Amino acid sequence: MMNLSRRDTLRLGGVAIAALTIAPARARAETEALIKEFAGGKTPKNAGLTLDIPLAAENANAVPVTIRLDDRFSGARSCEEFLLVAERNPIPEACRFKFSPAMGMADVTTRIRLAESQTVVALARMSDGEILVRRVSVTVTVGGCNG
Amino acid sequence: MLNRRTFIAAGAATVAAAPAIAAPVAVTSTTMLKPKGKKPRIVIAGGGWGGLSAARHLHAQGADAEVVVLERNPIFWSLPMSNKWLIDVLNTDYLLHDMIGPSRKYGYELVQTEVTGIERDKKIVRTSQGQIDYDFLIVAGGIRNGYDAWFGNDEKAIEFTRRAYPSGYTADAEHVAIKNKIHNFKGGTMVMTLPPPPHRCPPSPYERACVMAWYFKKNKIPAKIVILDPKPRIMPIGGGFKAAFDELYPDIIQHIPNAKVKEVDPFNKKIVTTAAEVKFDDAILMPPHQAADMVWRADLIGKTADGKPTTWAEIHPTMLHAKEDPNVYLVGDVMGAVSKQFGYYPKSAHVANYIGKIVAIYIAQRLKGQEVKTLLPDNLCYMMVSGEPKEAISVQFDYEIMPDGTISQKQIDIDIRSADLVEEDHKWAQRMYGDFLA
Amino acid sequence: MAAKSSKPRIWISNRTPNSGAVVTVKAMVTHPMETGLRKNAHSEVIPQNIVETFECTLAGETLLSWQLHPAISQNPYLEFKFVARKSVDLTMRWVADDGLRIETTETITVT
Repeated sequence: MMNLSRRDTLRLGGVAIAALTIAPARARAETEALIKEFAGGKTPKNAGLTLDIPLAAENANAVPVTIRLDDRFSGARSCEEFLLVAERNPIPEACRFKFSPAMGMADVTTRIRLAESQTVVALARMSDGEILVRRVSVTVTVGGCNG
Repeated sequence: MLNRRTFIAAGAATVAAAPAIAAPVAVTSTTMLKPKGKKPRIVIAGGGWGGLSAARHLHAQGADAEVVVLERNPIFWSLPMSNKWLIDVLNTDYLLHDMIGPSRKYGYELVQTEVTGIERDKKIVRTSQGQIDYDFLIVAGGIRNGYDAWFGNDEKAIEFTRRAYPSGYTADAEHVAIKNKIHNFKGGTMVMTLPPPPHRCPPSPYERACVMAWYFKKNKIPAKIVILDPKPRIMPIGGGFKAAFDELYPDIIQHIPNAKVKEVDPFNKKIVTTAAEVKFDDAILMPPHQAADMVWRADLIGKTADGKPTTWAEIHPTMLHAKEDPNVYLVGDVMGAVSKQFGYYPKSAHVANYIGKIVAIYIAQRLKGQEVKTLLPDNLCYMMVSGEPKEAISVQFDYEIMPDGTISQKQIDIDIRSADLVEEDHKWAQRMYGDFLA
Repeated sequence: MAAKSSKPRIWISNRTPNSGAVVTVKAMVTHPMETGLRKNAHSEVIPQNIVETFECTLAGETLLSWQLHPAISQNPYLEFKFVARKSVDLTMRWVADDGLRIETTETITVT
């Protein structure tokens, strides 16, 4: 995992350029386009889906995110896909998950980068075409060992 | 008799201050620990991870200077890995290290003495054995326990707490007391108050809770460990620790977040926090940490916007010297905030070692009349969460200079516990000991 | 940068679950997840280098697939849950945009 040889030696502080954030209007337009494409004309329903993300994230480089379909899959109804969007990231689409009905449930956790404080959106497309949505506004702070 | 005395004095002079040993005369304000030499002198106050790393790397840099380390302890006790020693996963030899050998190998003088004052205007350090002047001073005194936050100046309560419920965060016999406490615990509630950030780590308090829980579980001690955590959630490596608490020790560890200590009554075994009021049978009471006494004596403590002491040294974020004094460097846990983004570097052994190296390079560059080029540390910590099977988690921090000149931090938690991280932890420790203690 | 290929870290809550029990899998690989948006000290753009897909398959059938973009953190971490129905070999495969493939197989025995 860690590159130990690098850690054995000193290194010059490299210059990193912060990821440029994009203008709010464009960001929102891009997010809306993503959601529209994902929803396929349906109106997303604000129910049945949980988006668990810290309201104040201490480490913007690794914000834990859980997306969970509240109900288990039933014979007729399962979840086909999750879409996760961070609308003020330089690339708003963060990731997608596709589920087989054999999973029996949809509950995933990952860690994402957030360029700044913003609204994070999770969407689910159900096998019957229904679209579920959940939005959470996240404030980015910094913590680490010494937050 | 006279011959023997002369012999002892001559022998002692090579490793320690001659006057104090040769004759029991009182040390006065004019007693010299060492006369001024010909080469520039670098005095290192504190021979812990940061101080000894700096001394060792001044040698590696070929710095043409006399290097003197002032350390009050006669032996080196490693706080990293010490939690594993508490439950006999490691033996004492692992933590206990000789300091004389490295001092001879790396050409610095090690003097066992207590730093009692630092007069920066005169460029002298006062010690219990006399004064010493310096050209460059490295202050690496580590931390002190800030019991005053709980007890004000109630010395009776402080002394009782220190003895009955030691914190075990400095290199001293408190570790033995905690080990005995764990081994002799018959059951009941064991409370841990976590120091608020920024605090020294290692030993990691969450790791300490895990190894204790593992020990109690293994020996079927009906114990409950209550962690009073001032933070809103477990961090860093919150996922890995939470998984360990919930999956390995659900009946033993209770983690209470947002528990800022309001009142400690060590005599009646009671603690009041902002989240809960707890009675305990035994405890490890870890008060807030502050920079060591010597930093206060050197008048290097920073001030907050409203004029209160930050309790840590105010430093130049990249040049690592005191804000107001370019000849005084600060290494290790004494260091104040370095970034608006993340505040403090982790007060870890890895960072202390790394900053020790960097400061050695900076001073060597200055002695050679070269330009000082910014270097940044990184950090690496491993925490054992289970004694059998042996499993650990890890966290890594990387730092970068941003275009605006500030330092940015990247944190990577490895919170899937595994055996190979235990192996990496050992490799890390051996590499570190090998760097400045071998 | 972190080493490019390494053994993935896998943790499974229960390798011998009862039928119908929920199994949690935690999986992590070492990868820089270079966004392609950063510049180095010489003001040159550091090219994008990310893990693009993760797939968990059993007997050739895809159970879960994950499409990653630069927003996913360094050393991509994934935790997922599924309902155990039958004994299976779970194959997990990460593929990066430079062709790097990391693969591992874990056996779940339903009792």
